[in-house]
Amino acid sequence: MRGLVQTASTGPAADGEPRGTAPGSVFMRFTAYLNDRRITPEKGLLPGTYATTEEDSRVVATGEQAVERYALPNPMPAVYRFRIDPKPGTSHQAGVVQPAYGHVGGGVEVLFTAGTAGDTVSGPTVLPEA
Amino acid sequence: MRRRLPSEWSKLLTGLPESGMGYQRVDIRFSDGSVQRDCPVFNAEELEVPDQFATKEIADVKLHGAGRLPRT
Repeated sequence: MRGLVQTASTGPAADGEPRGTAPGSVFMRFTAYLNDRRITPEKGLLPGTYATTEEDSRVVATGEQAVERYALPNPMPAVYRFRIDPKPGTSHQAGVVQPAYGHVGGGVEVLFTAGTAGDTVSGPTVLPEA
Repeated sequence: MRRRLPSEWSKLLTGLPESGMGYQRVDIRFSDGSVQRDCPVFNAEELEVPDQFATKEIADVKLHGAGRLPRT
């Protein structure tokens, strides 16, 4: 996990180098929607789904903070936090959220280019809005 | 303003990659031929467009900025 963050590109995840997840690495996904359509009925992620590292998520305590750190265009607080425990070697690209939509960004973003296997997504934990 | 996408477009977008956490940036072509580019769609179901596009029938939806698609 630590190695992932330290070596993440300073550009967006879409421009990051493809790599596989390390054993035991954990990721988080913030959304304003309880019925997150990127989560499959088998509790995996669809290909092309974004998340962040567990380490980066620690500084996000509210849904509004998630909107700011991940420069989300949806002003609704992203109060639902899903946990992702991908299988080792899951393909992803890492980067840094660029400023957009009036938000500073700066959070770590991780793009699961091929999604994740079933039974890798749990939650959500519900955060305060502000 | 925000409008809910018809189910066929939601289904299409669910099968396409995101542009960021929880959203996709799309180009929309409406049935009257008008086009609106780089509109955010949230959770593949809610589209943000200027008011004048609120009730127009959607003819096509494509991801904006194909250059940002993930590597394969």
